[in-house]
Amino acid sequence: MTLSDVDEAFVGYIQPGSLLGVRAMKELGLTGLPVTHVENASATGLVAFREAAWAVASGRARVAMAIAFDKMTEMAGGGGRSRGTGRDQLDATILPAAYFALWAQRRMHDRGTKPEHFAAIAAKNWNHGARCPWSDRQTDHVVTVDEVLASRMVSEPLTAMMACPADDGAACVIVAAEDVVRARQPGRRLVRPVASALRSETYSPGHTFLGPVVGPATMTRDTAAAAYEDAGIGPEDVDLALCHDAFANEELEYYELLGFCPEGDGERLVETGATALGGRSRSTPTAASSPAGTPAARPASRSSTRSCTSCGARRATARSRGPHRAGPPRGGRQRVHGEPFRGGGVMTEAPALSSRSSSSPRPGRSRRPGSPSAARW
Amino acid sequence: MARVPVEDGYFTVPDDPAERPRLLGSRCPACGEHFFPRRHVCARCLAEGCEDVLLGPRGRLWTWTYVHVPLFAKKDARIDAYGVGQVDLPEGPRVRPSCWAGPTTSGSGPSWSWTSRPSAPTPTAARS
Repeated sequence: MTLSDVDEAFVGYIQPGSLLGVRAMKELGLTGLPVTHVENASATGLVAFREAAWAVASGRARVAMAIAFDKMTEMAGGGGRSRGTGRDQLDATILPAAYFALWAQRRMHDRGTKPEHFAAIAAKNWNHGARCPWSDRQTDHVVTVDEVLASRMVSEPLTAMMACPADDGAACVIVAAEDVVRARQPGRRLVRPVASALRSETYSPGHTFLGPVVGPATMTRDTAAAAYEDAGIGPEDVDLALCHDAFANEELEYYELLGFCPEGDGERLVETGATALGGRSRSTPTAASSPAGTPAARPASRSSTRSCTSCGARRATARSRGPHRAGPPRGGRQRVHGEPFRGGGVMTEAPALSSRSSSSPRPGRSRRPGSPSAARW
Repeated sequence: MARVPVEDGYFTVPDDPAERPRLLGSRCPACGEHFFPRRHVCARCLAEGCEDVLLGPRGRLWTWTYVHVPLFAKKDARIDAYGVGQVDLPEGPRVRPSCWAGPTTSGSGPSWSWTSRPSAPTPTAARS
């Protein structure tokens, strides 16, 4: 497949820039295809993917491309993000880490969460990342909780090793109609997007109107619920969750907000190691939350790449193409790719390794008719 | 020396240096919800025509952090470390000021009030 096979492209990049999507696509060739530039903060890449899937699902495109990239190294240091203008400058001087630290501090106040919990999540993800060749940060030793806690303090209680790296990267997903994929990749396992939900905030007291909003529980819960309902699955069906993890405390929140454990039980999941690779049990239906094998936390603002990678882009391009499919999910491994920070989520399904033929429709949950927020594939 | 707000329309800067600034907010005439900063449409009930009100000046700390790196955007870095808090105003809005209290002022709950700081890029809070 080449660019000439692509009917439509969605380009994700977090920084504003007039016609940036078109300019980026020109580097790949000029074929006249429609190009849309997507910017949606940390959900940028995920939204590019969602739009590409919609383009195929609608029938207007047979092959759609979602491509996203980051140049975090150019953003670091504030060269491109100074005080901003107008109302933006009132909040723009605050380090992004602080927003997540505010969230972490309040949880510590409410639930008695310890920095050790955040450190345990970070250590888990560092060690997961060491097993993945695509990880931006590789360690040559087993990272411990003590090592994470002893690293440089960034914004209390978050240390440097609980934080994402600021780096560069890119990812691309090709979404195609099933017959296209079958014709070009016979015998290949397919990844099917089964639901996508995207929401913005609903008003609740305590909403902050200046600067980023971090951690409104309702937005994440509602988004997850919409995606679960449209996918016809529940948290107990999920084998792998890839969540936004700019900082380690986010993952702890998402255990609960995505329904992997009751509210207030997140710390227990950490303490029991239930969310580490191999830690899955009948009572904890989630596995690792390290995006595509990347280490520790990665920046919220690197949106596009991390969204794309965390939605399995690299793996998807390497191993499978994800065609549109209608109908209820079938037997196989369920994944949640989420940017709950911005209220975005995609669920995909890959056939179980051992049951490629076990694709009978799952009985059970009915889909909501006419869901306004969730894409029904 | 005259005090000049970094941006007009968000807080008052009284002529008397001893007088504390007040945040400028909005109140919905239909449901009574308060907001900061000022807005026209009520975010809660969607009524139009929110009225200008002065908020605070005291509030209760909801959460806090202390940032151990210079103020974001290095060309503005005049401060090597700083606090950030979220403060619930008695009228309801939650605001997020930078503050120059030390890292040991931890814990949520104490009453905070507003003050201004020369050349400060954000409205600042100080424990009163």
